[in-house]
Amino acid sequence: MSIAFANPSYLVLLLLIPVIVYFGRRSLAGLDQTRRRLALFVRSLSIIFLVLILAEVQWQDEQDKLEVAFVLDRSRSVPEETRNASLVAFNNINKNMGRHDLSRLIVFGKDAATEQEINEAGQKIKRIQSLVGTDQTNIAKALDSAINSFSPGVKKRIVLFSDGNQTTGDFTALASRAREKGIVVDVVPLSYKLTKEIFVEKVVLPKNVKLNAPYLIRVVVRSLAKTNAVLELYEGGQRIASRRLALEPGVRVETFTRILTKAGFYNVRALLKPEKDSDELYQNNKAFAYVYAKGESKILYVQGEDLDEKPSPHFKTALANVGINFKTIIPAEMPRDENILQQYDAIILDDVAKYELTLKQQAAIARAVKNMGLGLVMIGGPKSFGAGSWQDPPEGAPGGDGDRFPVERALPVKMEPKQKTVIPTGALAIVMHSCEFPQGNDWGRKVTMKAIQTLSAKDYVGVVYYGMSGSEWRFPMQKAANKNALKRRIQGMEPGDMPDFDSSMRMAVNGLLKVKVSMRHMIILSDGDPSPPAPGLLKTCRDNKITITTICIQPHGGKQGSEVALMKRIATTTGGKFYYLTGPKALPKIFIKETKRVARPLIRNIEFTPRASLKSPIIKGFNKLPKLYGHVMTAPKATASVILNTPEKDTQPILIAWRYGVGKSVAFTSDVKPRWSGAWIQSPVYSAFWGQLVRWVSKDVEDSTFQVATKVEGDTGKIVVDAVDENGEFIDKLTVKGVVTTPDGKEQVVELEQAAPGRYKGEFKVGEVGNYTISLLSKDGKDSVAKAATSGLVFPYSDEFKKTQSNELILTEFAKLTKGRVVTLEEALKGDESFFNHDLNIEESLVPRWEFLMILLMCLFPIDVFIRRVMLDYSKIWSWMRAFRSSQPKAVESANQTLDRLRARKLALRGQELKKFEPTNEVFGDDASVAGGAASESNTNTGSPAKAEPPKPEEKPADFTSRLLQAKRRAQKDFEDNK
Amino acid sequence: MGDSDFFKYAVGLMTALVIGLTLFLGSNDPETRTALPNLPVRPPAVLPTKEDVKLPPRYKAIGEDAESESTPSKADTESPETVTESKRWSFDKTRQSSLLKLEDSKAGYLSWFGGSGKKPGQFAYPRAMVIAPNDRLYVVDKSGRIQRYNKDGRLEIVIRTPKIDKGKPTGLGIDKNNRVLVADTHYARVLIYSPDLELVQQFGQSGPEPGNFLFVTDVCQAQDGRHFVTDYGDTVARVQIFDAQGRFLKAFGTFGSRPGEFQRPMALCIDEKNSELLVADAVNHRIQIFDLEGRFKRALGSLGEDLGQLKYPYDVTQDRRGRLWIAEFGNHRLQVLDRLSGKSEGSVGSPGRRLGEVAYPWGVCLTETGRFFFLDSGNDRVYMGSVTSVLNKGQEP
Repeated sequence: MSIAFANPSYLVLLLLIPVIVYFGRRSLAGLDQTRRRLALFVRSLSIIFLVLILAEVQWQDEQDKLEVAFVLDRSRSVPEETRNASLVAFNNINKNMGRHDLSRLIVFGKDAATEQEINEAGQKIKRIQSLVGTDQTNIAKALDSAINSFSPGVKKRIVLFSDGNQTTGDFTALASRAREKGIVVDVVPLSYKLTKEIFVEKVVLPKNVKLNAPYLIRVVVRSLAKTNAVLELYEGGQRIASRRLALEPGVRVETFTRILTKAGFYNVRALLKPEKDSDELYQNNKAFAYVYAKGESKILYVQGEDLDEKPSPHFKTALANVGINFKTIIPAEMPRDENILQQYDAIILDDVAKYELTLKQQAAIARAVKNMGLGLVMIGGPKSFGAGSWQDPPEGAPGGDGDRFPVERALPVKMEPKQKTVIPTGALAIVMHSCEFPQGNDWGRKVTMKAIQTLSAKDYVGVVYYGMSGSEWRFPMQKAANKNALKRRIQGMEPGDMPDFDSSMRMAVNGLLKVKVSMRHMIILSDGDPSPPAPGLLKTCRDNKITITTICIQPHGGKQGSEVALMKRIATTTGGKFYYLTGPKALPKIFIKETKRVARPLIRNIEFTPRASLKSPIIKGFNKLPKLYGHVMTAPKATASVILNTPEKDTQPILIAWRYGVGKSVAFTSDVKPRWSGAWIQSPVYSAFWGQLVRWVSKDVEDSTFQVATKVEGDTGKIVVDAVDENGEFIDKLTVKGVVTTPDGKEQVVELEQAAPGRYKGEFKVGEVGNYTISLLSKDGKDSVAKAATSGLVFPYSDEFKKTQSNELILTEFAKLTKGRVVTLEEALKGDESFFNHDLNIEESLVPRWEFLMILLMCLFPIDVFIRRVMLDYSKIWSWMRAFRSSQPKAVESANQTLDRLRARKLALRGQELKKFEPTNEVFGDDASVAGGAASESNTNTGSPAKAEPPKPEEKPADFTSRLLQAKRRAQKDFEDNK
Repeated sequence: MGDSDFFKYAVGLMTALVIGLTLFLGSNDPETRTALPNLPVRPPAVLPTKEDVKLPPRYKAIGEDAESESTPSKADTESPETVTESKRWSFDKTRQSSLLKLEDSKAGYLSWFGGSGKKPGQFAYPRAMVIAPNDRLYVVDKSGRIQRYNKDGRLEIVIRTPKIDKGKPTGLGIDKNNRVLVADTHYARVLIYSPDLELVQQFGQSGPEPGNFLFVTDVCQAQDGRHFVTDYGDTVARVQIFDAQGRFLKAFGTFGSRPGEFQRPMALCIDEKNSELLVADAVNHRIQIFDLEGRFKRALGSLGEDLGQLKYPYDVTQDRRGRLWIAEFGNHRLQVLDRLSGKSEGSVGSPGRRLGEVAYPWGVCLTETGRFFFLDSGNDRVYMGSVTSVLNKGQEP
């Protein structure tokens, strides 16, 4: 048996033993010799064990123990009944397990996992619990796992159940490692051969096609037997063709002709549907490909609802004049799916408020720009940008799913102007008439509170109603800072039946005129039966730009009644809006909308000539631009380019642009209608400018600068981009980024690194089978101009599903290399006991033994304490033992006899001393009287110590007193003789 | 260092420590023994006693002064109901007003009937009232019911006008045959009922043109049989005259505030003795007086709360001495004016919801025996009493 030390330097601590012993002798002086020696021994032993632990002693432990690892193939290439049979075989074989043997079950497919260890014969595994990927076969991983699982110092065997069709890794390379470790690998081939199987091998088609031009789609199909099937072709999720096939054994190519009429990127899928019972594996019945069709530029023009003006035809005319193809929709018609948007090159939002688009629509727009390269243009107006409730996302708010500000993130402007800009405030007066419909006054209070909530703290608000003292302020015109207090005032309000509009409106107008604001607005809620206001009052409102919106709710006379005409006249005369309602449901929305006219009025109605601050293709060729008469205040984002701005000192951006993902985004804060762009409409600049802008922002043309290649290796998708300029020179130092859209719609971002001149590489994980769309964007370091490209990658079904029969040859070769056997599944099912034969060599291995020594060391402590602290009467123990051994009880030595022995010893010592010194009788006589043998001396005469009597011949030698006397006599005689 | 290494070293160190301690502490040699120093012991923390815990001053421990616990402080319980007179609507304190007491209808005291509700005898915002010469009182409210009471306030008949979806009548009159004339405001017509409230006739249709109606607010009949009707709507505000059969004769008045113009004319009254037509020109806060051909004669009142001023007069009637009794919607009072000078001859009522107070009165009518009925619309009741309780001292009833 060999012994080794991992840290032999610690052995020097053994020199401490003599030191311990030396100190121990002193400290253990109180113990008798035996106990002292024992204590020191135990102490020394403790030191030895400690040192051995520190030195990490190892020695071999030879046992006749066998471990067998059963490695079962669970991949899908093996038919299910064969997989089940392998588990049954495993259970049957385990019945032959020896007492000290161990059986281990490892299952594998794409990965390997240890299912269970069995150390008792007859123990069964009923069901495999471990989850391993079954669409790949990695025998190497499984064998590696098995090899590493064995304990040291045991006999080892691996039993491999597999069909031999590995799809990843190479297990044959492990044969030498197994041999080195003394592991024998027996194989049990899981044989099968498919007779009925149909496959779609691949779909072949060109990557780029022209619109309205036919192209061919070729589908390669294979069958093992004669059978019928239906081949279906899908494009972008829709079925475009279906063909019934009568298949013969072998390969066949089916060709389809297709014409694409809309530009875009299309995923193509071929699906082969077998007849009943003519196909065993369904995973190989589909294949994927993709095609890209480039078309004419088309723009989606979204026209927002007009608050005040009628729809203006000028913009559409201008686009048509410059040959731009567009489609006009209203916000409600905006698609919610960016795949539908990809047929367009740009989206124009003309004076569209945030509340006109749902979040899903907004998210689709943002994704279309970011991932598909569409352009986005937001045009100003009274309800665009901040004036249209578009808001900046809060600081730190993450984007992604559920983001409430997708379009705001896509735009190159912030909705809040710079802080130093003085933002004009507004004032709102609400005139409340009693509402006679059910819970009318309650509705009135609710919508008034909503209006208060919508205002900013800097805006003014006041509420007038008819109360007990006539027309009165519920609360007078004041800043809407303490909203809660104002709302509390409204809660108790009971509007009365207003006799006339004049007194309440006049009160409201006076209140509005008292505050210095840039916007004054009034909302009147009534059924219209109060008496009309004086004409002079409406003129006053108009002259002071006080707009009045009237909401006529459930008038008595219906839509044709005079009250409707009255309220409409009030609104139209003052530039407000008139609403006719038959019920209260729309009230909240109307109140919020009307309040927003006032809230944070970011609209500036000023005349200015826009000034160019940057060169841009959008304004190329325009020396001077016509005047504009207003815009919405915004602030450019940090990396955006401000192309046009106002000429004042505290300049405001008018035309701003930037890149957002793969696409471009432009904000034009003025409008395209006569309200602000009256001068532009009259000028030829109008058409030219918008034509240039729309073309610039549109989706980038795919050019030949980029060549994109993609492929799959294992579970990794690889992208290789070659960038070459028009002169054939490599383009270096680009920043290339890709967004990969998986078959299930998720997105991954891939950063490509430059690997060679003009060559950029990146990779990503693939999981699901299908088409992956890759949108690439590259930028060079100089400016923000970037190029884009779209490509795809097909991740087909695993090779696992291409195998039609097992590969027994490779398994047999492997078994030979490891000196293993080939056992058929049938023999294995019978429970072949040879798998547990012990005729194997053991690999030499040293086992660390510190645990064992630690336990011993722990035991020594109490032993040490016991030895030192517990004093046993060993004589008693000995006597007990003797008594136990012999049948006769021995006489117990009397105490006297013990004492006699002690005294004899003492005398013997003293006798030697007496030879040197002269003893006196008195000493002996005294001693004789003191000695314990006094009782025995009672028979002798102790009263005359001086007399020396000659010893009697029959005296007993054992008696101490008599011996003493004899000694005394002898001494006396000797003295006399000498004398 | 792996876990097993750390374990080994730790145990080894502990073992060495134990051996060392054993050597020195376990030794029998007293000189080699060293006692460990005593560790300092902190005194136990002092826990707060019950007396230390201070309760907020408002609360008392349960069991102590339980009665006082149930007596809330004055500040906590002051409720609007206990508010004293000072919390009333602040009006001109110099106004003469009578505190109405609940007694029978003997002179000097008033009583009331009605109450909120839709049961017979109750009102849902009554907006017009008229009394026939036989002392039958008719009241129409916002549920579209017309209720007839006797002079003691006892309900006799209840009917409902034919259509009420668009709105309900806001004007009542009595013709010379004691028939009830109903200004069916939101249906642009006049309904004529028998004294027992059976519909016998109607006339009118919707339209701004003369001869048609917009919001018809009141109707009365002269002795010569002509019907006088007020209506308004948008820029229309006029008095129209129809014959006994309801055929249009003429119209006068336009929207405005000049003499002869109206803004929401709400009531009519014919002074047969003086051949005058009194019109409550509500939004102009005046009573305009015309002859029976529509020619303007004079106007009484102006906007204000003082005596002699008016605020939204919604009804006007005359007593036997020709004084004008006016229900002021805006001032929540009943005021009596001299028919010529417009001087105030008496007034009663202060704004409020309590018994004795008035809210948004729409009507007033008088009996020939010197009693008045005052329609307290906002409080859904009718006050009734002797005219002397309203008139100033020295005024003959």
